[in-house]
Amino acid sequence: MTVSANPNNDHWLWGVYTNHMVTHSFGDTTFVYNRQSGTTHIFNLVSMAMIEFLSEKPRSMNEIIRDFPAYMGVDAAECPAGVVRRLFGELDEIGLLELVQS
Amino acid sequence: MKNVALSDLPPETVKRLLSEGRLYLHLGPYVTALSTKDAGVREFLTDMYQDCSILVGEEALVDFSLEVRAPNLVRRYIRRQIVADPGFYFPAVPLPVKLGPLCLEMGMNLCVALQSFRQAIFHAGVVSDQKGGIVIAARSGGGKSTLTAALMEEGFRLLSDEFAILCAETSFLLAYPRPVSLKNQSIDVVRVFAGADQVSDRLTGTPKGDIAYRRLRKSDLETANLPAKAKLILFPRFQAEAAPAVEKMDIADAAMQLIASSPNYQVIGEPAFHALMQMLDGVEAYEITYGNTEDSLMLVKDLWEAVDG
Repeated sequence: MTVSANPNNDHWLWGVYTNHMVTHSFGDTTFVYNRQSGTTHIFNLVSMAMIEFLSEKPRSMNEIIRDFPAYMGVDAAECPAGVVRRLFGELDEIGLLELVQS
Repeated sequence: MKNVALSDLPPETVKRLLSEGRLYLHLGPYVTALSTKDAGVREFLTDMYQDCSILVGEEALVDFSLEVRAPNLVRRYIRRQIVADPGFYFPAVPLPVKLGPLCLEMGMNLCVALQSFRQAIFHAGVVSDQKGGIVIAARSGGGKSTLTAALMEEGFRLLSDEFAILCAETSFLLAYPRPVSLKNQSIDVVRVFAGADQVSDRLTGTPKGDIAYRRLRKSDLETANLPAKAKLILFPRFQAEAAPAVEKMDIADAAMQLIASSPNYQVIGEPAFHALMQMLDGVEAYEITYGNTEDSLMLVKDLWEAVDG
């Protein structure tokens, strides 16, 4: 079953399927090959930061919204919850995020 | 098995081998077993591929099998038609028998595009010199083949007019030289700078207009076992009367356009990803816009001069 983060499960813990990914960087751009889907994606610095942030340890959506701006080194106002949720959703959509604990 | 040039085989032997499906054409990394009873296809093959290597023997390990034949018994005799049969179902529209050479070329392209499982294939022309390779990505009407043919006259060797064949192990481009497919106005353009005898007769009334082929050069066949390291990727854009212009492309855009043009990137999977990434390391990509062949050559020469050897 595929599940995605939404307002009803902001406490679930999410991580990254690191074994599913192969990456190669050119400057600020990172190519990500998803071994499960066979597709290649292009990530910017923010997307890669989210991957690295969730690779450190599984986090809930609440924690991501709270802590990701600081991880990026920006104010929360510059990285609002809506942006974080959308980015999270995009990474989840392409099959790179793992529901660790619900 | 031994290798001989196609022109060294007597015509009756070529006819027999083709009718038995045992003409083993050895080009670059591929061996193709060709089969046809059509005289027009046979004549085209023996003319345009005369210097190509043929494996002679009872049996050969082949990469592809291609038969060029009538689609059915009726169309063998009445309002004759011809179709390329690569050994698997493919929804190809039969063509009038006079377009047999086109059928052969399209069939050979089909084999490489859909049955190559060892190399990543990208839709592009490739030429090279001692510095390395230039990948000329295909865009509809972009002028890939005309530019490829023009660069051949400038001393570049032809690796392929149709496919950038990327070795998954080495990330080098492999040569698969075949006659360069020319369409409509580009036929006369190439006749002028390559010589009329270097271009085949014009096939008229094809689904893409008029088509002719720039003849294979012996020198390109003799060096077909030499791979090339990509140094430059071009995305040509022909616009009538356009002033010549160059725009550097983000390598990410270039990569995604190449991936989109690949018929087998998803099939090869992770090795294709690694090979592509390795190929792109240190490569620069440009979109070039031009209104005539002279301008396109000037742009490419300028870019190529700036590339480190």
